[in-house]
Amino acid sequence: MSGFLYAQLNDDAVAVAVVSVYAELEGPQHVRLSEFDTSVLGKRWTGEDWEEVTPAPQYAAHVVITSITADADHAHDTEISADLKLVDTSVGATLSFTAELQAEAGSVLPIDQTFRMPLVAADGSNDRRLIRVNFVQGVAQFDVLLTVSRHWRVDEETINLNLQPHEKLQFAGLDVYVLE
Amino acid sequence: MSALPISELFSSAPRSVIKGVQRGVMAFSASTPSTIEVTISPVDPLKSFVNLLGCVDRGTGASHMSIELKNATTIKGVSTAANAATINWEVVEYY
Repeated sequence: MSGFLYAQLNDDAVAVAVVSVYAELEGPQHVRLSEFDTSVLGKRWTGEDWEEVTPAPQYAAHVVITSITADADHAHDTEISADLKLVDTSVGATLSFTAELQAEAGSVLPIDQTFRMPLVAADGSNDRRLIRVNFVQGVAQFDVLLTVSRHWRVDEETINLNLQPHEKLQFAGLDVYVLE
Repeated sequence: MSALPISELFSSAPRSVIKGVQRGVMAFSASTPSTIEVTISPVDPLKSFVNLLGCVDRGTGASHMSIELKNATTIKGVSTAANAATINWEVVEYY
């Protein structure tokens, strides 16, 4: 292909087009090519060379915990962080959770689906529980009874273990310390 | 009536009705919808048109792709593909 050959960059310096044009193009968003090389598409121009770009993960939905409360008998010795990512509570407490499946923009996705949420011990004990989380129109309410002293964790990796790539969920994570 | 010499006939005839062709490929990442604007050498929009030569949607869902000559120096492509996609295009300019 004759003419002047360029890769054109987006604001992140990633090549989004390769063109053959009549004349020279000016500006830092144009990188002169020696051939019509479409292999640079999707790569980032460092100023000297092309580097691969790791694509950001695509999520089907974001799991957002919107409230956590402890039962009345344990509310006084339960501390819940403002961002709802950390809970300190006592053995015997029942924590009540409300969670939403949200779109990127924060709107609730009207999805009816049940998930098995793994609650994994993060203290080396290899203990593991599965909690039934039933979303109705994108909102789930569920209770978890905590009967042993343990550090429990739910994170993005574990909730996605058995999901297909197009079902992946984004989750900020939750740590629950159950104290005696 | 005097006839034109053959040599003058050839020299006065246009060499081609096509002034030039510019081509390219634009690549969309996975997002819906997505727009890419590509800079080309200036053309006269009244004497030019853009062809969509082909497109590839690397996903499985339905998608819509379009391309237009936005102005004398810009090609605008739009893809509603939820996955990576490419559009091959050309702009043909006439005298």
